[in-house]
Amino acid sequence: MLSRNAYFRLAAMLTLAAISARSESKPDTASAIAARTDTTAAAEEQKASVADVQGVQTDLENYKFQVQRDRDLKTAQSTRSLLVTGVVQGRGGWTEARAAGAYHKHTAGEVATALVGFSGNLYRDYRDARNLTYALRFVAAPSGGSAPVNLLDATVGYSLLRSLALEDQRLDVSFGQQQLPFGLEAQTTDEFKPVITNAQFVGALGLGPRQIGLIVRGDFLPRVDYGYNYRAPIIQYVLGVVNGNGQNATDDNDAKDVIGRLVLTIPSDYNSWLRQFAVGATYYRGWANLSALKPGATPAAAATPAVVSLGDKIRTGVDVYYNHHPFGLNYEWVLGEDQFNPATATVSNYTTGVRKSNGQVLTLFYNFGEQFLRGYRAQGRYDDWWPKSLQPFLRIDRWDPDIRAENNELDVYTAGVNFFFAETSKLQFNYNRRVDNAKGAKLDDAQGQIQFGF
Amino acid sequence: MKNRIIKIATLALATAALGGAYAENPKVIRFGYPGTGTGGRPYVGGSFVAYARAAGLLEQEFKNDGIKVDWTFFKLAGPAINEAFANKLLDISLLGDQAAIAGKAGGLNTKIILATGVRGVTYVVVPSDSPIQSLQDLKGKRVALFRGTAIQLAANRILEANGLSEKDIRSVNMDGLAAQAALASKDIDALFTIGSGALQQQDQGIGRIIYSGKQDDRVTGYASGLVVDGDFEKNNPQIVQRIVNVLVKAAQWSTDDKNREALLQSWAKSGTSYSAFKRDLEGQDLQAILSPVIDDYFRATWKKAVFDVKRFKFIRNDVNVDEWIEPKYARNALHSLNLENNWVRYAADGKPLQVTAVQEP
Repeated sequence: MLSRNAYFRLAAMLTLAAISARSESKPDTASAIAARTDTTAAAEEQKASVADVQGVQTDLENYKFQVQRDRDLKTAQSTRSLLVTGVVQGRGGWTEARAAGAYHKHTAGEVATALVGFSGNLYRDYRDARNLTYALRFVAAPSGGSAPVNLLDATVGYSLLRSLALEDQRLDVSFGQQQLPFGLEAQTTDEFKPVITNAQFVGALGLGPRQIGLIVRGDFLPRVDYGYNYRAPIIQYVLGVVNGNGQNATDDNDAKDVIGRLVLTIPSDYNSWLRQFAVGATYYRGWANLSALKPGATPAAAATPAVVSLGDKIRTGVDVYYNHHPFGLNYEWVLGEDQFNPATATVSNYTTGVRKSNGQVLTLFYNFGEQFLRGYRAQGRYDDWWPKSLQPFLRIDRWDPDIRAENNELDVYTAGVNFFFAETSKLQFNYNRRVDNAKGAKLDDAQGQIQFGF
Repeated sequence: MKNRIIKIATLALATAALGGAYAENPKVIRFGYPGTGTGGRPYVGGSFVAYARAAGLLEQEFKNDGIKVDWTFFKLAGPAINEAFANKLLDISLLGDQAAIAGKAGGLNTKIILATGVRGVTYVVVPSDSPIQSLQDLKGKRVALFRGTAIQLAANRILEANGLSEKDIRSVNMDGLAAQAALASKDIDALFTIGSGALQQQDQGIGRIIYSGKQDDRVTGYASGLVVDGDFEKNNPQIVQRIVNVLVKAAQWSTDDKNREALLQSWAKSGTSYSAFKRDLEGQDLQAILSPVIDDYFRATWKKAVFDVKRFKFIRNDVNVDEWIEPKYARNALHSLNLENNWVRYAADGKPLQVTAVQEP
């Protein structure tokens, strides 16, 4: 769209052209016309007449009127810059297990997630791109039976360093309710997650819910391959302090949880087989309230739980990330350490124990198609083209809820395929085999999901 | 029995050896082009390859063979083309010097088989009401340049020739369309750009040219070439030859002065105005800047580009230009089309050579 100054300039040019056309439209004598060469006549024909200029002026005025009217009546506006996004997941599934409380029920259909988000700049730094940003997202998970809509993310962020060029180091800080930057699985967004459901440890160790706090992300030594405008910082780090009590909840103690993450990426050019080979480690140190039963006021009254101390909540993770289009490999290992009081503990008599749990997940995938090639996707086209891609994958997910106990692991083997058929949409099919080693039980299930976004 | 095995093995080896020579034609030729027309439209101007695309010359050439020509116009220009080559998504492309060099230095298996342009002109444009008057005024300013493309190399050469470096400005990486929008909204203080776009911005009232490479003999203009994937070239030498033949014919038509108006009108459908193309080419010899001939000047231009790209630390490895350029297709095309003397050849120093006899490119 032309700027206001450009409109003025265009109007001035049109006026000058009109004056010029008027001055040159004096009636010529027949003899003079006859004397003109063909070239001159052709050139004259190409000159704008007064009518031509007036026609352009009219078009311009009509355009300005239409733009202003549409802005007044048909345009959503906001005080600051605003990007509205959304993701919806519709899911259907079959399971070998018969559902409890229903007659021979093995199938289900649901809207798994509906998310809408708003983001933009609160302050845009034109000089150094040290912008002040915001993000607000709400999610509904109808199948979960929770409240219809919940606040998911509410953050304000700021870039502390200049981030204009690829060579610039990054240092960003964000405050508010946000994703805990732990490992790979918990942080991967739905756009890039090959598997429909998270690895078991994400939910079991409480790494899924958002946390409220301050997170600092940065990188050192960015390596740039100008042949591809490919940027890969050799060192990435994350430091954070959070409440530790999950999303949409006030803090439940004075102890703040801390998290640190370090990722080392092997320096390489884009065309190297070592491209996007990274090793990461994350450490999360938190404290949880430990309860014990407090006797009732009267001998007949029931005991009620009371917080008696703080227990350790530690998460340690190591991950390997090798995403080298067209194939990729992710591996993540996580150890959880949780102090706990037995359910029967009383305020006058309890012994705090420690439970160690362990999760591992390995995902292998292969891409047929160009969905993940940024440069190839950005093509000049007349139509709404998008590269159709197929992504088969395999995942092995093991969860050991108590490493001291033998043969109690839960294994989930998943084979599936993702079909990316439009810019923000994909179809997913997963087949899972769940093995409960403690029970010696094997159970199969299948899920299909359509995910679309805007 | 032993003899039979030897015979079978010999036959198998012979079949394998001849396999390349009798390889089936590809069903599609994937042709790339750095950039798009205005608004991202798949229509470009500024080269004889653009004209060949507009006129459907390659499509006509391969129509009877059932070979489709699939054109891809890359918004992210040279770096995206390198990405496509690296992932085997492209067979052949026009490509500017820096991107081609960086790709080759990074290990891409490519060859340059035809000249598509030399002496390219770079402009520096500022918002129309900007107080900036000269390159010296760019110190500390936000200046857009498309990194990884020929613009970055050209910008560094221009800055250096004027006693500056990229460190003296606040360079912002932007593609052409984004930079034009940023110039209009004054999000940037200046932009380095190549070709007619600068004149269009001036016509639109959003920009003012403070530097034109036309008047600067100190700076070598950027170059471009036709780059082919090494495997595609190896497996389809006849197809490659036909592509080059068609493009040399397109170059002949494009550089014939009597077709100048028609050429510019064809390019103008890209969204950049006829007037902008016309003024961009004013004072320039089409025969010289759009020559498909791989002459000493073309080689010297690329050698200098490799030297400069490495000097500016945009690549780490070296590139042997003499090994990289494969001149046989251009030579065959010029010979078979009897166009060997159609274009003036230039010495490495840019001065025209005397044409005394048929010269090998």
